[in-house]
Amino acid sequence: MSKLYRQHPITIITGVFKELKSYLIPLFIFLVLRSLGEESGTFFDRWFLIFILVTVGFSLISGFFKWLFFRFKYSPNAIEIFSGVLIKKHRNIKRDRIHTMDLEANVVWQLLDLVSLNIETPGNLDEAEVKISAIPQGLANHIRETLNENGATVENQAAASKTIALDAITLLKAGATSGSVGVVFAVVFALIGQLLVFIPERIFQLIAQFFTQTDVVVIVILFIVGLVISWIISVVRYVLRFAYFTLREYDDYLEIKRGLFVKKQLAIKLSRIQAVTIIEGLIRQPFGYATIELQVAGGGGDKGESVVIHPMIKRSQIESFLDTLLPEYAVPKHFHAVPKRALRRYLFRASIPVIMLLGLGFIDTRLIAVPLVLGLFFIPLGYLRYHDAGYANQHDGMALRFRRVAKTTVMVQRKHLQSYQMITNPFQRLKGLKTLGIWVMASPTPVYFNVKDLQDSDAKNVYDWLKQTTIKTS
Amino acid sequence: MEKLEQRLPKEAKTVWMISGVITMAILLLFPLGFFIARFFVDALPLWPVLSGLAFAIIIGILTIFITPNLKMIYWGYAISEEEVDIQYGIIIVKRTLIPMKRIQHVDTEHGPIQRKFKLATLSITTAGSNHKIPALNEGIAQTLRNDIVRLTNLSEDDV
Repeated sequence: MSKLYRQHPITIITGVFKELKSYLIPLFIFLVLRSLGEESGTFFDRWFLIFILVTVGFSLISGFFKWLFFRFKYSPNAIEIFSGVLIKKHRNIKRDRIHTMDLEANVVWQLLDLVSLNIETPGNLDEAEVKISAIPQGLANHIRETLNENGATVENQAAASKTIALDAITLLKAGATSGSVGVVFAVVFALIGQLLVFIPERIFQLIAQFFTQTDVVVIVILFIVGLVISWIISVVRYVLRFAYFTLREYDDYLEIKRGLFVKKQLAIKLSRIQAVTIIEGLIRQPFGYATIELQVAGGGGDKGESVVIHPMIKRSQIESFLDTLLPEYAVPKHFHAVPKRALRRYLFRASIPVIMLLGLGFIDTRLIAVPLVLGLFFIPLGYLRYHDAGYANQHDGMALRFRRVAKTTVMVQRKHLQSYQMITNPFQRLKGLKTLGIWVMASPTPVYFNVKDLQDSDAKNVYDWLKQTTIKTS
Repeated sequence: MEKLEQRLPKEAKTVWMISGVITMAILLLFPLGFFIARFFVDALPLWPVLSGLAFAIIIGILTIFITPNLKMIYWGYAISEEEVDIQYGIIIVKRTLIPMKRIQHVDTEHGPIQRKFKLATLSITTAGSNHKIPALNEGIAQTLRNDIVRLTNLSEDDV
């Protein structure tokens, strides 16, 4: 069993492309500049080409040596990895230390039937994940089988007791309502901002002229066009990420497969689940849809992302979905709401950005429209936050419900609460209100959830309830 | 506001007062330096000396006489078999409950002044959070540590 394996040589090429990618934008800008006839000159051109060639050559050579010295072997007890060209690194990962082993594959690898095996272990962020890229699918599966905790093989194990797949229409709907337009829009704007530096003055003047001379209407239309384009990009991104989403339930773990160009396969041990989050986004909520995510201790997720176990579920189906999949996380029927006297505080908090922007009015009276328009969004949002906030506790766990923008319901089992906190500021004390917060372990960092302005006695009840129950768990 | 029965040890106040004195002494160095510099450079104005002095004195009064007393009043904790309960804060009051079984490790740290008074800052870490009690008698810190070791042996399955 102690045969030494190497990665597929394609990793060398992949490495070079990665390196090249970081030169893509400067190269593009350079070419644009040149075609505009500014700062041209063959001298400059040649050096740039040489620079690129040297970089490619260097990364080819270093990639080759890295590939040559990266070897690994595995046995039922451990996986050993040897790496390093000059500084040799030998890493031995014991079976019990492996949290998860996930598979991932991009387009090229899919053609060659290769995958990358991500091994997640406890530890610091950098050291926690070991990536063995570009190995044959069969080998990866065999490694997973060999090192699987129960010794049960992935293939042989009894068929999944439940499979959930996402059909194309739901996927599109989910993409359209994912609410990540804002993010894409911001990225597009940031990119434009970056490019501005490189745009020659002549063109800049043309653009400035265009903006000062054309109607506000045209600018608004351009803005809307930008928004639509961002929205389309966000839909495409979402669809690529969640295409072929399937969730399978096995005895003690969940398996999630998703992605079109970059295929991902995650395995989540049920015992590592720390909390279940139901997120009803602003756009999805009116249609009665929600996303269900998991907080998982020690890996199982993508970097900085929580694990989505259902991208788009009808609100009415959540109950039965959780009931079959994770029966210990039932959505409570009744939530203790926030008292009426908290409404003013909720409205005030939501209108803080609006109040701050009122200062714009001093610069130009017309600018006062900005905070007013924002107020139309933020003040109803404040009301919704008030309306949705609440908590529920049952014998075995508790749930918090709150809204930042999306309405979020967090369900935690008592034994997974790391610590709890009640916070009051002087204004809350005057009104007899308390903020209740909980810490839950998650990957990569712990998360803190809180509900603001709960009734004093309610918060106290939860606190006492938690105190009481800590005795019983032992 | 209800208070927890365990208060910080009396020595904690002394420690804070001493560090307040040190803070003030350091702050006083600036106006002092400027004052001396005035003997050599004629053009320097007097106001930086005065404002620096005023600032140092205000901070000094706060950190020597006011905050140590307030902290003594507002800090409270309770350590039982099952949990650590902490309450602190003057304006924003925070009350934290940490179940013993969730505690992953307990660190004590003490500066030179704290050591002189046999005090330690206790830092409690769970898998999800970190909490501190700024001054505890070394004995209590030790007992707590033992309790935690005993209790964490009971269950390991959760995280």
